[in-house]
Amino acid sequence: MSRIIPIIIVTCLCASPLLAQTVHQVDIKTFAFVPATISAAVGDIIEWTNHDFAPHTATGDGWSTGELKYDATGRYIVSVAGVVVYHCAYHPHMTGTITVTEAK
Amino acid sequence: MTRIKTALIAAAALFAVSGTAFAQAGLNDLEIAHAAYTADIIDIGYAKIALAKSHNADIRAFAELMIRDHTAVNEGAAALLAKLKVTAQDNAFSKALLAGAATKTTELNALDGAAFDRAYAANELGYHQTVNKIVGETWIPAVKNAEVKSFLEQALVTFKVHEEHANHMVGMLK
Ligand SMILES: [Cu+2]
Repeated sequence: MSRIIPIIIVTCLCASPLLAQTVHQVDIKTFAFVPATISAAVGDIIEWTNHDFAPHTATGDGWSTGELKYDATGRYIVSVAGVVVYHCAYHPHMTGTITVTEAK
Repeated sequence: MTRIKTALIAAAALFAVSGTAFAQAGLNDLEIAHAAYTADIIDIGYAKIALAKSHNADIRAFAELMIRDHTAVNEGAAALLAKLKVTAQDNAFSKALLAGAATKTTELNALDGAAFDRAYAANELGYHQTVNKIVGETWIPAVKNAEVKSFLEQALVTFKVHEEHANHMVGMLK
């Protein structure tokens, strides 16, 4: 089986390349985002890895990683401070929250 | 052994299989893999009928989910079998599953509109309940290879989500 790993950068508007970006890992396993709640600063990268056979997505208001197959990884750069709530487009009961603070 | 028999008898009843003498023996790992693969293919088949016939948005979304998830589980199964350098083995239970599915397919194809939607949803619920019971209570305890066992455990997580979803759908269509 070929494993296609789409790296999707949905938003890349304001992060200066000079700023250190922290990558926050979120696992998707047994139909849940783990951890379901994380904190990040503006410009940070959130990276989801799907450990389920079932494809999932991380989808928020106006952005999505797109379909993440088994073992695939998708990314999103948080660009605005505030609370970002996201879900899986295929299994909407799967939800997660990112609390985004101003850039460090 | 009694539990295995009960599960198989329940399956036989649901799939309207008569006279198939498959209940007496447990399946080996490769037969279980084949039967699991077959169960996936059958549900993908039901979903394709739903996409061809139903205009109900919830039914269509569920059918698309079934195709996406069961295809992914079967890709996982194929990858595991390739890694283990083994081939799944056809067996009487897989054949019984297919025979039951042929009967159900004829039934579903004869229905239209809301009657089809209700029958599809009810079948999805019953099918996942039955398969999940067999996977959880018979196959996972029986399987010898640890990787096949962990594969089935993962697949069962997916199928249980489907069962819950189907249950919700049956309630909505009442
Ligand atoms: Cu999902």
